Amino acid sequence: MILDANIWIAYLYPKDALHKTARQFIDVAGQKPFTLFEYTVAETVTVLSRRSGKATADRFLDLITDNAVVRVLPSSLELFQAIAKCYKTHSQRNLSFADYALLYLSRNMPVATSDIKLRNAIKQDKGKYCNGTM
Amino acid sequence: METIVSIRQLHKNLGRIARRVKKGERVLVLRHSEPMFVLTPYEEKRHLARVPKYGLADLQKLKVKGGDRNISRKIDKIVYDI
Repeated sequence: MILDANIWIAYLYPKDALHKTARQFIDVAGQKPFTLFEYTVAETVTVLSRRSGKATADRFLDLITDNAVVRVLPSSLELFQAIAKCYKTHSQRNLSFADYALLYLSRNMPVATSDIKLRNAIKQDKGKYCNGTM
Repeated sequence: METIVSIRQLHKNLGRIARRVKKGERVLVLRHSEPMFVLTPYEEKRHLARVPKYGLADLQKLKVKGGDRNISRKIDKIVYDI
């Protein structure tokens, strides 16, 4: 399963309204490794660095890059091209490029997100537009 | 010590090169003068399955200060300023 940055941020920040839900979700679903896409790492680390300091962001990177329950999925030229194709095919302006990456990846593995716009896009898409081969 | 051979030389002298690699030599293989791959001796330790250093419990222990009740909804604002 791929986790969106909003799930990780809710998980890490005790003050967040979705913190308890994210904790329960990850603690239960964490029996199997999670996939963390490179763009999601970039977003999560940027939030941590800007709101909680570079040291916290650095520590998060250490923890996810050598972790039994987290697999970091780096992008590649082929994957980037497929995501770009998906991005150009869709007309949704309120999704970021990183959201389109998750939309594209959702064809092959489930994506957990608290973003309603992305969730709806995944439901509606079902590989209809993002069907380029990787 | 690193030896450079072409893919044709490797093909012709596979047995001899394999013995040299086994003794500890590193061999860089070229194809049309471009590096293709490196042959290195098998190391038992390196090939043993490694246990990851961290687990979920370590992520749970990460102390993250700051934030607010809507931080997970403000990622685009924080990252992209949109």
